[in-house]
Amino acid sequence: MTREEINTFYHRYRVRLFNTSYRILGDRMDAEEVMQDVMIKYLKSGMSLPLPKEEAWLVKSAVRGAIDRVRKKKRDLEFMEEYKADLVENIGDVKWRGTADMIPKIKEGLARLPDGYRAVLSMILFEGFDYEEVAKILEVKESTVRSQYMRGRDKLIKIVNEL
Amino acid sequence: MNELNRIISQHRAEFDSELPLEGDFERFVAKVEKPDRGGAWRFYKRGIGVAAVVIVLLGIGLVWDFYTPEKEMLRVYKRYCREVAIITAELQMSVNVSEIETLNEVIENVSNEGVPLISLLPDEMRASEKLTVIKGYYQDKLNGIMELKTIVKSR
Repeated sequence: MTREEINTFYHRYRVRLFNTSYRILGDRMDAEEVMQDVMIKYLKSGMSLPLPKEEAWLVKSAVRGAIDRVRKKKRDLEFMEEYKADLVENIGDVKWRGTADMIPKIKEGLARLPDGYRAVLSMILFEGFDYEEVAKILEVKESTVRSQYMRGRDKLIKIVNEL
Repeated sequence: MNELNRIISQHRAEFDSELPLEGDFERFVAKVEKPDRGGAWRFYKRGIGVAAVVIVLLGIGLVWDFYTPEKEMLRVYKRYCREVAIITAELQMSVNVSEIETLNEVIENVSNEGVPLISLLPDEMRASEKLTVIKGYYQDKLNGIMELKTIVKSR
């Protein structure tokens, strides 16, 4: 592959993959490494997928790479313990009060969420994964993903309302 | 769809506004151009004992009795893990104790891939295509390990 082709490939997916990884990891250097590792894996594998599928594969692989990295840092148990700890917390009746400047507030709210919730919300709200896909990636039950998504979303709304 | 979902879905592109730190493309090119083999001592950087990870993978102990592309892919992957484990053990025995940590770092750098490619291949690909990709990919990685072995042994 020529440098020009590498350049084109890299810049086609750079922003999307970086943001996908960054939303889950919350760290620029880690996000860059995940993004680049996924791209290199694709290039070195010799796979050749049509563009939309290529992007879908890269996004999914970036999500898995980012989750893998969070887990390595936090240990699996801790990653999932966040959920359990939260089950006893009463979030209450959460109503959306958002108006202007919602986008930066949502981004800030996401960054403040515990890693586990942030990962689930990122996959469902931003990457469009369904519960089944998320459950496979996290290796938990689909019902767990569903309930954590609902709780994570309520928690995010609560944080955003307070900002 | 609630309000939060609606905002995200309507402004999806605006949420992708973060950028990597400056110089990311140059760092990427350096990684792409970094040889998988040859001059492997330059890869002395970081890592954790890859041997332990590989041995755990081997410990999965799956048995494949019949040939199908899917099973063959697992065989290729398993063979790769086994080769890496064997070479790792062999090299660990051939270097000084003080060098083992560095050796592990090098091996991890050459062999580790985070989430294995075998678990990332798209469902739409035909099994035979997947097998071709997997064979080429792991053979290439294995070549890197073999060259590392040659370099270490020839010191």
